[in-house]
Amino acid sequence: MDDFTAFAEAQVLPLRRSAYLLCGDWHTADDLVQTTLLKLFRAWPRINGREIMTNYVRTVLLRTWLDERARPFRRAERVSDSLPEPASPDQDRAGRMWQRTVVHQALLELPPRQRAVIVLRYFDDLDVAGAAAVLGCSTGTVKSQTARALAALRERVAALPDGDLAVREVLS
Amino acid sequence: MNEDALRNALKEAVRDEPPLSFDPTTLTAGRPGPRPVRPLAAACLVLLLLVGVGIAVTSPASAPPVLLAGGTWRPDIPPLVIDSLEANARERRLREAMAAYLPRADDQALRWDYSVVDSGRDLISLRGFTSLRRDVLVWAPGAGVDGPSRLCAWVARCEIRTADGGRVVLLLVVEFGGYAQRFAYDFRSDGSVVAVGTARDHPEYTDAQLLAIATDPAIRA
Repeated sequence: MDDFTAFAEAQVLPLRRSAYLLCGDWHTADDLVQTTLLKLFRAWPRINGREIMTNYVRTVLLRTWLDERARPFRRAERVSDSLPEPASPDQDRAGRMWQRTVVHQALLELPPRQRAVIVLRYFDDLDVAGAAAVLGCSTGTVKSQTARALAALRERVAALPDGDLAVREVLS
Repeated sequence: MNEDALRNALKEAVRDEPPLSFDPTTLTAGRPGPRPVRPLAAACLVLLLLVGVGIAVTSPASAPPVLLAGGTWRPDIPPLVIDSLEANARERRLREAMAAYLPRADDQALRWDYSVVDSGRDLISLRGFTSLRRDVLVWAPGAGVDGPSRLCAWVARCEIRTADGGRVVLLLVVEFGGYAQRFAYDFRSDGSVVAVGTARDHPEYTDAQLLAIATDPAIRA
C-alpha cells in the first residue's frame, strides 16, 4: 500500500481544490475527498493501469459529489439571484477578490455536469479526451457542455453592474 | 474567450485554502482516522440503529411489505442480480420512459451510477438531470436510500399523500436560505424508490405532476 499512500498524499490537495470549486464549501470538500480516497483505497488492489489513476480518482470524486447532491438534506448550496457588492475597481486586490467571488458564484449556479466540465477543463487542465474519460461521455458531449457552460457563465457575468472591467475581461 | 483569464480566476478562487480538517497520512495508512463528531449526525445514527434493531426484532425476515405506524417503509427486498445485459435493458426502458417527462434529457443527462457498498454488493441508480433543475432519480431495490421516517425528519415539510399496498408516497420540501426544492418520493413495495424534484426558482411541476411522475409504473428500476 506504499504506492497508494504516495498517490493519496500527492492527490489530496488537488482533489480538495477541485471539490471546493464543485461544491463551494471547504468542509464539504474535505468530506468528499475523504470519501473518495476511502473508495479508492478499497478498490486499489484490483485496479490496474496506474497511469490512468489520476483520471480515475477524479471520476470517483465527481460521482461522490453527485451522490451527495442527490440527498435532499445535503443540498446545502445557496443559489441566489443577487450578487455581492463589487469592490472599488481601483483596488487591485479587492478587484481580484471580487472577480474570484463572482466567477465562483457563477460556476456554482451551473448544472452539475457543466460545472464539472469547467473544473476539469480549466482548473484541472484536462484536454477534451481526458475530460470525456473522467465524465464517462463522448468528446462531442464535452465540447457541447463546455460551450453551454461558458455561455451560461457569460450570461451571469453580463448581469454585473457596469464598470467592473476586471470581471468582464475573464469571460467576455 | 479568454481561457487563461478563466483559469486564473479559478485558481484565485482556491487561494485562501484553509488547512485540511483531516490527516491524510492516517487516512492513507489504511486505518481511516475518526471524523469530527457531529452531534446531529451521531444522534441520527443512534436513532437509525435503534429503529433497525426494533424492526429486526419484531418482524420475520420473509414478511410481506407492510406500512408501519409513522410511515415506516419496510419492503420485502428480493436478491439483486445484475448482469450487463439486464442492466442495458433496464437503461433503455427507463430512458424511454423518462424522455416523456424530461424532453431535454439525453445521453449526457442520464447516467447509470454503480456504487459498491461494504458488503461488496453492486447497486444501481439512474439519474436524470436537466438544466431546469428537475431531477428524476430511480434506485433499485436495496440501494440504501433513506426511509420515509428518516427522510421526513430532515426536511422542512413532509406529507404522506398515499400509503397502500406496502407503498409510501411522500411529498416533501427542502429549504435552505432562500432556496427551496420540492420532491415526490414513491417508496415501492418491491424495494425500489423513485424521486422527482423541482425547484421554486424555475418553471416547476405542480404537486400533482410530481406525484404522477413518481408513481408512473413505467418509471421503475
